[in-house]
This record gives sequence, C-alpha cells and structure tokens, in this order.
Amino acid sequence: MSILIDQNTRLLVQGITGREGQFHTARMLEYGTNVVGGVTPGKGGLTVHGVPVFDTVAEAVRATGANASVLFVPPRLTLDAIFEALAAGLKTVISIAEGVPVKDMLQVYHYTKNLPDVHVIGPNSFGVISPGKAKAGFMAHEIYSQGPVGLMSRSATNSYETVLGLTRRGIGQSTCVGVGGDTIPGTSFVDLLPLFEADEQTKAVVLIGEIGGADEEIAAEYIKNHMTKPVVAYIAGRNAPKGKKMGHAGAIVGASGVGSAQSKIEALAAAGAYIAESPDHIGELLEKILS
Amino acid sequence: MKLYEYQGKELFRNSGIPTPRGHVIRNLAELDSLLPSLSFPVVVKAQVLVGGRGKAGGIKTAASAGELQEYAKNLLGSFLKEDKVIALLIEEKVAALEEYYLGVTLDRATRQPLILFSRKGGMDIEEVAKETPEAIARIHVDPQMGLRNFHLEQLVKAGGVTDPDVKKGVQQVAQALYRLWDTSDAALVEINPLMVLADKTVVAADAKVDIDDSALFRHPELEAFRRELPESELERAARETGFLYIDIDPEGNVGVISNGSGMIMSCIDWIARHGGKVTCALDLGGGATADRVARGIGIVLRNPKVKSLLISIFGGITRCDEIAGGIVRAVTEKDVNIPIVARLEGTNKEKGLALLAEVSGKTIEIAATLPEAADKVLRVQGR
Repeated sequence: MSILIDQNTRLLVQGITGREGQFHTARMLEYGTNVVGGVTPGKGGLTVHGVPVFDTVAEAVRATGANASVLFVPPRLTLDAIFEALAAGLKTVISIAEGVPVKDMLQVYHYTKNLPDVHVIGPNSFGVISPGKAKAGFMAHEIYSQGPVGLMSRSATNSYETVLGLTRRGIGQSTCVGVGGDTIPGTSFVDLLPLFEADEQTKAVVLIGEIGGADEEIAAEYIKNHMTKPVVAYIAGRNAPKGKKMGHAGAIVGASGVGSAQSKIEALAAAGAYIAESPDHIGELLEKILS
Repeated sequence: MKLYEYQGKELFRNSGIPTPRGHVIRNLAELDSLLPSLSFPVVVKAQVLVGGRGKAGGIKTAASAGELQEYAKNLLGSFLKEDKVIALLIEEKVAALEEYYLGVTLDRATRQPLILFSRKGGMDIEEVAKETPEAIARIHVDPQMGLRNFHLEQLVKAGGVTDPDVKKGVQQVAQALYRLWDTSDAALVEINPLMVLADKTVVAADAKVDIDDSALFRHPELEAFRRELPESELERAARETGFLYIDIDPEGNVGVISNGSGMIMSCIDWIARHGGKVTCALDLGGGATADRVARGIGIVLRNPKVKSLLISIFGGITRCDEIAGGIVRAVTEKDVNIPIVARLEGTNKEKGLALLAEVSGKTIEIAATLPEAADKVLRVQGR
C-alpha cells in the first residue's frame, strides 16, 4: 500500500520532449516507474527513452491505459495541461511548474473541490514518490526508502532534509507528497490526511508546513477530530523576515493571528501533533513514536 | 508587483472608479510648468510603496504655489522609511464627510475572493480590525458564481450604509473594484480612504494595487508601470538572471544561496539558532545551470555586508554538479575574498563534490549537514 501512486500506476509525462521532461523521464524509468507514454502537441509519433509520445492526453490514455500524469510543462501552459488531463479522465495529476498564476490555480481548485477522487498535486511541487514502487516528479530518489512514514510538504528542500534524516535512521516512507509552495495548491494537507489515515502501510504522518495561509491550521482541525495515527509537524520560517507590507487587507484577514509560525505551531500542538524543531528533529521524534 | 498610488489610480479611472483630479511630477521643472494650471489648496503625496506614509510625513496640504514648491523641494529625492521618493502626486483637495475602507483580496483559507468594507476607514483601520472586528463587513464571493447583486446588497447592509445615494456609490465602486481585481490578476486592490463627499458621491482618495508576479506575462499593459518601479541594482541583476534576491536583515553579515524558499527559511532559522544573522539571500529556484550559478554568486558578493556565504542545495530538479561547477567558476574567475561554505545533497551530489574537491583550499569549506553548515558559516568569518 501507499497513496496516490504505486507499482500499478501507469504514468504519462506531459511535456516529455522538453529538457527537464526528457531528463526526468529517464530518472523515473531508472527508478522503476511504469512510464507508459508522453504528450507533447505536435510531437506525436516520436519516442523518448523508448516511451511513445502522443499529441494529446486523450490519445495517450486510449493507447496506453494511463491512470496518472506528471506535468513537465512551463507555468503558462500548466492550467491547460491540468485541464487536458482531467478532461481525459485522469484522477491523479501532478504539476511541477514554479510560477503558475494564482488565478489559474483558483480555477483548478474550484473545478475539482467537489470531486473527491481527483487529486491535482502541486504546482511548485517536487512530485510524489512511493519508495520502492514509483515516482512522479524530480526528487532525488536515492535518499528515499520504503517504510511506514507518510510525508507531505509545502517545501521540496525541507522534505529532502527530513527524508535524508529518516532514511539514515532506518525509517522508511510509504509515500512522500510535495503539496507545493504556491498560494493555492490543488490538493492540500487536509485532503491527504484521510488518505494516509486509510493507508495500511502508513503508521505515522509528517506534515512540513511554512508561514502564510491557513492550510496548517485547517489540517490541525482535521487531526484533532479524525486522525488516529500520530502526526509530526514542522513549520519553517520562524525567523523569516516579514515581507514589505502593502495595504491593510492582509492585516485585517490575519487579525486573528492565522498564518504566523506561532499560530500554526499552537494549532497543531493543541490538535495533538508532535512539534519538531527542525527537519532533523522529525526523525528523532519518529524514532521514539514508532518504537 | 506593488504599484504606486498614481499607477493604481490610473487603473481605477480606467475601471470607472472616480479619483480626485491630479498630476504626477518627477522633478521641480515639471512642477513649474504645472503651476499655472493649479488652483489651491492642493494635496501633495509622496509616491512610495511603504505603508504608513501619512504618519511619516509623506502627505502635505499646500495652500499656495510657494508652499507647494517648498514641500516638493523637500520631498522629492528624500527617503520615507526605506523608500526613496521618486515622484509626487499633486491632487485637488476634496472635503470628505466620511472616510470608508474598501478592499478586495484572496482569502487563502477559503480560496475565495473576499471583499472587505468598513465605514471606519482611514489610518487606523488595522486597530479597528483588532478591536471592533464587527465594524468590518466581510463578503466572500464564490469565483465560479462571480460577483452578484446580492453580494453588493449584503456588503452595504453589513457595512451599515443606509443613505440611498451613498449606498449606490459604494456599490458601484465595489463592483468596479472587484472587476479590476478579477481581470488584472491582482493579489490586492484597496481604497483607504474611500471618501464620501458633501454631494454624497464617493471618491477613491488612495490606491493600493498588488499584481500577481506570475501572471504579469499576460498583462503587457502593465509593463510600462513595472519600468517605473524601484528595484535595487542587486534585485534587478538577480531578476535578469532568473533568480530572486531578497534583503533580509540590515544588521546581518551572512549571505545565503539556496534552491527554494523553504530551504532559505531553514537556513535562516539554523543560522539564527547558532547566534548569527542573515543579511541577504538568493533563491535560485529549480534547475539552475553552472553559468547562472556563477553569476548568482557574483550578485550576492556585490553586497558589502556579506562576510561569509552559505550555499546550501538539496538538488531535485537542481543538479549538484551544475551548482558545484558554478562555485568553481566563481572562485576561479571572480575575485572572491570571503569564505564560502557549501553543502550539497541530492541529484548528482557525488559529481558535485568531486568538482569542489578540485578547488579545495580556495576559501571553500564543505559541510555535510545543514546544522553543520550554519555553524561553519559563522565560524569562518574573520579568518
């Protein structure tokens, strides 16, 4: 078991003929991921590392039986690429791109919010990896190992730090999900918690958040009411500089304190999550929790 | 991209939101040619992006041409907080019966646009939000539905506007402001104060507009505004190389280069834990090549406050050999006279470390973990 992707995943790579698309298709294949096809409009008929390329996602799905897609397309084309994947019936769509307009993701969020089996991961995400089974994204897969910890993170680099620490301690992972660092992610912590709770392989969950937004506070509410598995949380940005503030709307919305590192840590602690002081401390806590 | 007041007001007028009549001047010669057409009193408003401009002395009322010239001479080129005054907005003075607040922003918690309105606008609106939050009307708009008449009705009702003329004026401005937010990919549009005049018309006396940087590519009409915005030399150099340069703590003396904001925050946290302060950071984003990395290092080293540099990379889409290649190029081709601590993990780490080994002893120290790197980057200072 694991969540979102596993050995049964038949993965498409949208944007497979680009520089990053080609490089990471090779890396995903090397990891043993079942990459069944790629899509680049106008490049149908080519192959990339032996993977057939199609002009459209619909054609690729028909020909290969693909059931998930990872997008190596530029930010300006991401909205189109996500909708093309959803229109072709795919339920798991993973977007890597950094710099997708907020308004585009607002559209994706509201289109998918009442479709519980659809998961748009990212954008601005390292992807998803279920160690030993499959990866869809660009994470350095050498550091991962199979095991009982489900991980979800807004930051790619902080999740790598954490995973490296876990693997060095002999603690493996069920699935690691890059929620992504953008203002509006497609799938957020609160959507992934029930998947980890239901997953047999996952015995504990790691949540790596950061300042800004309310997703950690919303996740805390879910943890308090629904999670039986232990959750370890780390919030980055306690010493981060405040951005040059403009206008008052942010202060009015944030008058209750939501969004600060302190608010998130307090909410998660009150919900019963273990609070880690650094990425490395996460491993230390899990060693005790899992033993 | 945060806009100056005069730029925001241009967008307002194009959207049908009334503003006071005004002119922008950038130097005293422009003021001289403007003077004959002015009738006094006028309001002189320094164009800066920092908040609290009024309290910092950036807004004056001039009763005569002489007074105006005096204010203009003092304000132009001066600094309000950390912002240099590059232009003045000279506006007709309007007499307000009341000052309201009106803004549209994205509520990240509900992922919906949020319209904020209060009859208690003005400089103390944040105090109002803390002490009497019920005095601020908050109306969420489902973006799939769009702004409807019932939203506007709820807005004035919750905001306590009863006069039919004022109500109509507020609703018209709210509708136009929402449309501007929606069509310009704005993160924020805000009017504070929204003035109610004696004839019960409403006028936007200020403008705060912030546009989503990621969406600027589809707003060529805003490109002219961007060229007028302040940008430090280092910020511009970084942007032109595809990186993001951030000033952090003016009292700090460590520079940080990393690949992503999460890692940068963790570096700042770790250096703070070891008793140090970061003065600036460069975010390489994902996938930087050696050539660009070398240029990025050069940009950070141009900040004279930087006494040691931490380069911490956890490569996913970023390849450690490209990073190392950039470091090697920087120390061999540029005049690097401060110590660099490098910490590489992830994609192509071994290749990267091998490259760095070839130039070891050239002010580069390697760290295996982030805590070790944070410790080392402080210890190497002043050696």
